[in-house]
Amino acid sequence: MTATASETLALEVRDLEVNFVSGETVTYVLEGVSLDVRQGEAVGIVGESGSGKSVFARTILGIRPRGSVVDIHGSIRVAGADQLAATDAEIRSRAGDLASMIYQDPMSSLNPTVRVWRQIVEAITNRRRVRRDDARAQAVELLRSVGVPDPEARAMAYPGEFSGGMLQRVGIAAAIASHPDLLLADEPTTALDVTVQRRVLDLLDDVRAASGMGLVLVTHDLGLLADRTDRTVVMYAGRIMETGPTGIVASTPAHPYTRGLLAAIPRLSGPIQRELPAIGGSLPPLSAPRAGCPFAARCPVVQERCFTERPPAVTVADGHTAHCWAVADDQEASR
Amino acid sequence: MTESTIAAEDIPVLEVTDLEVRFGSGGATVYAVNGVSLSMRAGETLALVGESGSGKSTIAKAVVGLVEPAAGEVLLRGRTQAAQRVHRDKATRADIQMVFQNPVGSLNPFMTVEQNIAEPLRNRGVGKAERGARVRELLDMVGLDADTVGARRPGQISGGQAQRVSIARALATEPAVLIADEAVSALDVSVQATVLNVLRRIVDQQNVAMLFISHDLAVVRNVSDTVAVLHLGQLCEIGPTEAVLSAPAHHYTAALRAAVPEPGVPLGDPGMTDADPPSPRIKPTGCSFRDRCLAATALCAAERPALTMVGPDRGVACHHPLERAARAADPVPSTLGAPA
Repeated sequence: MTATASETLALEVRDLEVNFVSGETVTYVLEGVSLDVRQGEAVGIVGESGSGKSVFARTILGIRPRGSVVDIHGSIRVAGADQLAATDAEIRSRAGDLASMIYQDPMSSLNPTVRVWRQIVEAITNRRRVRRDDARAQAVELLRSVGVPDPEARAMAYPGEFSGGMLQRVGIAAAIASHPDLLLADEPTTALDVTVQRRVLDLLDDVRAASGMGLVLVTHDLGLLADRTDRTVVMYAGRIMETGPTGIVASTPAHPYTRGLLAAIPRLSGPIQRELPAIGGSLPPLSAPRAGCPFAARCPVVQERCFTERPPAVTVADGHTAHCWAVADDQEASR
Repeated sequence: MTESTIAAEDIPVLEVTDLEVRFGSGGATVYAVNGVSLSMRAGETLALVGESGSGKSTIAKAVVGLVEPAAGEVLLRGRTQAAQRVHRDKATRADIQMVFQNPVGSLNPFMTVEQNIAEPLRNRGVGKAERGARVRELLDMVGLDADTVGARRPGQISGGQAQRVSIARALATEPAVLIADEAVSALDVSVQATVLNVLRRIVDQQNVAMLFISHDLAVVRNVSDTVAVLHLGQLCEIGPTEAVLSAPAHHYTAALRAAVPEPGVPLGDPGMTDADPPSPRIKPTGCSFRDRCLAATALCAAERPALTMVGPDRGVACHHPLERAARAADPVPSTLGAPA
């Protein structure tokens, strides 16, 4: 994960803390998250609801929730540019240039009353004066590149005239229009059928290979990351629990939370499980900073210090890290 | 439910015969369900799987009596039921209960957990003292403690707990048929496992017949006895779950199975074309899957394949079903005997 000095990382996040302040109440959403994504690298962020994975993606892009004050600490650099120091106007003016996002529901992220070609090239036409015909030609090319059949005709259609899978292709075309260094995809296939999901993920692979941008794929589905990302980051209650090569995390997870998560997933192969191993308990309240490890109360190998001391990042193997006291003990014992 | 004479066991609890459901009329007609027959016994879980638009939820609505079929019948213990719920008698309505996808949205937010579960009991004229005891029993059945969650409101409990409360409420009337429509789809995997375990236990212990609707084949494999695969309102394949999923006879079942990503398992051959499913607005002819099928021939366009039995309790509607030998060559790689 160490970048050479000359290489600019597509994404560099250091000790990111995000708190939502709404009147008297504070929600501690992210508690010190660090992540590097190299150019051309694909990283999967997996987590359940409340893990902070979507807020993480949105904060990178500069999207803040309405109605609450957001208290952010740490640093975020996209292609070397400081995202947190930027003003809202700067963020808006370079929207889509450095980083762009593909959303879960293409139907609600696109304007239903505007022809799709205009929305695809919006990131370009918002900043520069582009002749209408040129802009439309660009949109048609983008539609062709994401595999929409008959792109000349489809460019003139409205979002409602597309199927879900085709519309997500339109969303991808819009996201890559201005050649961003970083593409964030927040549950891009959750609203789609499995047969369509596969084709959309194939397209994301192709787009990344062709452009060399970094990809962050945010999902609740660990299965989806196999073959799709180089690395997997497992998040829980605003913290990173485990990071490692995707195949390794799925086959030999180190963190008890990742292990529990993998065991709870029903499988299509192997023995049928009449009684699935559930993880008992529930997410700790986000209304207070989590002392120690946030998974402690649900953890099968919990120790006393897990409730009070924040677990260190333990290197299990090259590029494979787990934040866990039990893992730290194991490493100590095997040394 | 406890009367277990042999004769009663022989009659399916629920039957659906040649069901057809259409929405709209004229040129705007959507052909949602096109001739589907199903049968369920007590203590059995039948899963309906398929993509969006396959008609699985519409079948559930027809069973409950929320949509009126264009043709076909719904039978409860051998007796034909009125198409509309309002025309069914109270006992029948109590006998078919449903659990929905969004647990918090399907409970009354102003009532406590206990009140939510007690409501169907009160409607049936169960006395106050008895209601309290029964609510406790129902909460216990779904693994919740009445003292901890009973006095809370749906907004104050987790999604998984709320879904267990809605299951408890559905069980309050001691139904013969429980319909779970994507009941675990909105839940996190760690919570989903708990709810699936609860549903399984209820089917076993309460001897209800469960109609389990899901888009998730892996969930279906671990929860159901029988699976029915639907494509655009047509039944493609039906049979014992493990037999169907381990060796599909219909090309659509095989394609659906191949598309499911599993942690650490690379995806196999997609086994289908890139075509989108045809519009449900076009009156179906032939096999609805033919445009997406790699084995389709002229026959598939000309003639709708009839459901043919290919094994014990196993039916497939395909002119060119996958052979048993081809089916045995499962796409999942075996780790046994792999060269070192």
